[in-house]
Amino acid sequence: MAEPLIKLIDIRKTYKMGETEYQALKGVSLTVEKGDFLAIMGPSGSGKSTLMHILGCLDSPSSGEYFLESKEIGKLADKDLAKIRNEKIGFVFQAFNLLQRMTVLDNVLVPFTYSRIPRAEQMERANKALEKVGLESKKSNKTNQLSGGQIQRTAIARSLVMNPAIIFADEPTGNLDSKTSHEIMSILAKLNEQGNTIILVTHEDDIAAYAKRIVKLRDGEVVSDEKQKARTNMTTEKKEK
Amino acid sequence: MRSLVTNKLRTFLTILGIIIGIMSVITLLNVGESAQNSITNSVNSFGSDLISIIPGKIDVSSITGIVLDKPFTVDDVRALEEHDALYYGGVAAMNAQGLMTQYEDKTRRYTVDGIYGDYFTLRNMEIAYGRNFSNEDSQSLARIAVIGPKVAEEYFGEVQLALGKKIRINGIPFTVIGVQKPKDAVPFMDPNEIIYVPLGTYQKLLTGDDSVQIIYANSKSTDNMEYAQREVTLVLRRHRGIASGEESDFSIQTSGEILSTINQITGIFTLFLSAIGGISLLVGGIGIMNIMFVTVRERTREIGLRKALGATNRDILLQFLTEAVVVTVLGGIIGTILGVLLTYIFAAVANLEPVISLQSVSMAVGISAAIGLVFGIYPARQASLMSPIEALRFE
Repeated sequence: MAEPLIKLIDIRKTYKMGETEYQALKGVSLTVEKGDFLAIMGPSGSGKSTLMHILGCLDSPSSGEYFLESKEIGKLADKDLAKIRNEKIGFVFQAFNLLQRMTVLDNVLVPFTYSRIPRAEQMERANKALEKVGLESKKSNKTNQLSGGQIQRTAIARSLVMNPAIIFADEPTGNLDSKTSHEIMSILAKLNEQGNTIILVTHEDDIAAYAKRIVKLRDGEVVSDEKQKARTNMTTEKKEK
Repeated sequence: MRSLVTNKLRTFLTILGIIIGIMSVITLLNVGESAQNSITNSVNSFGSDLISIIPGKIDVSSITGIVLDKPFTVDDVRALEEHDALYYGGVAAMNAQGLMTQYEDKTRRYTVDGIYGDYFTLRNMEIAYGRNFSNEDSQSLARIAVIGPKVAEEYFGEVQLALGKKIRINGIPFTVIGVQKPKDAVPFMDPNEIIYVPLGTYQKLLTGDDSVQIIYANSKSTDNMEYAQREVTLVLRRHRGIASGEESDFSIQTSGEILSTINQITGIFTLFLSAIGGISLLVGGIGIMNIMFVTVRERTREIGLRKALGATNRDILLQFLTEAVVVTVLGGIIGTILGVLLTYIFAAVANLEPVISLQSVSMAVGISAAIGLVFGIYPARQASLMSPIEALRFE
């Protein structure tokens, strides 16, 4: 078997809160293969957000090892982590986090600000990403003219433009109604079919149902890690090009 | 950058301090420079080889700054004339006062100069029509006058009509024998609006006082100014019976010295007033810093998002620093434009040739950029050091 995309070995994270120490993660080990669609579940306080932040290189573990594409990144400096976030990781957040008063296209182009990709290619990739989420007709709209679903689709397009190794979706449907939620999840599922690795954080079972594998956390530890049956409306494995 | 555009009013109010500061500095520097230029020109128009001698010692502890023991008289001027001078050439004397003058039914107040010796030559002035008067005219108390071209126009309509006409000064009729060629105006004094009469006549008939206000001499060569100055001093000291070792009871200055004194004074003024402008800039800068803190706080989530999308601390720092600098430079440019306009207005009012120094403009833009950097760096640094997780959670 090829090297896994992500390999976590005994990741621990301790927060100091004044005098007391709080262990958010108590030794998590996890492997994610390329093309996986993983849902991390757990009640609040289970450490799923912390795990997500560490996986997303927004935070560093207190101890343990984190290999991304076989490269140890747990101990990298801020500057290098920023580069990894830019090139390897796409984020979709619960609270959308688009830049206000900018057009859809401009929002999708933001990650390029921190890269060195030629302008023509930027436009090409942005247009392609907007096409994938079905927003090509809205690209000149300002974000305040969009519905919640359209905003989240813009965020998904933005997470795609750098061709990241993984897409992290942190409660992507938390602010959406159930119909829109399923729309968004279908898009994510389709992207996974097309070969994108997706890690989803959610506490809703029907949202997690879109994933191929569910990891449950409780009190900073993995309590279960199960593969799911493929959804009926989806083809299973899609071969990589 | 976008937030600058969307918060137009806030941005404008923020940079108002910078605008006012830069505007005042630009105006003051350039008006100062214009004034200095005009003064330099007017002093130079007197002739750079000119030596001026005024009676009295300069004494900073007295109210007027000058202690006057013994005034000059025409005798002092004659002593200089009679001396077989090696280094100085012409000698002249002048008294001046504003007096009521009259021609037919027109009455005007003009500066009347009582002059003696080579005054016209020393002050680089020429006669356009008619003739000049001589020292004999002064001795014989001749009631004759040479008038400035503007006086001639005012009284006679045309300059050519002036010759032979009688104007009254303090009620005493004087015959116009010459009209002076026009000369460039200098601030606060127009040399074309002066009436010249012989010094003797002036003293006896107009003021009844035989003192001389100022004596002029010129150096034969500008290279020997110092020697000429020393020679004049020696002749006057001997004539006035001042023992060696005793201080002279008169003060002597060359054009160059007068210029540097004036420049020093205007320089101090300009510096002082610019410092006030500088305070305004400082206050403006603090305003910028304040608004940058507000902006950073308002955009905490944006900072978190940008970091998540790959912005390094440095990227965030530069983003906010750039915004601060763009705002202040914008203020600097607006302030510069207003300052230049104000300089032109001031110059027009004060009858100055406006001078806009490129140096002051580039300095203003440079200073405003520096203010952006200095006052923007702390808020920008605060933004750059935010943890992305905390920033994303910020409500």
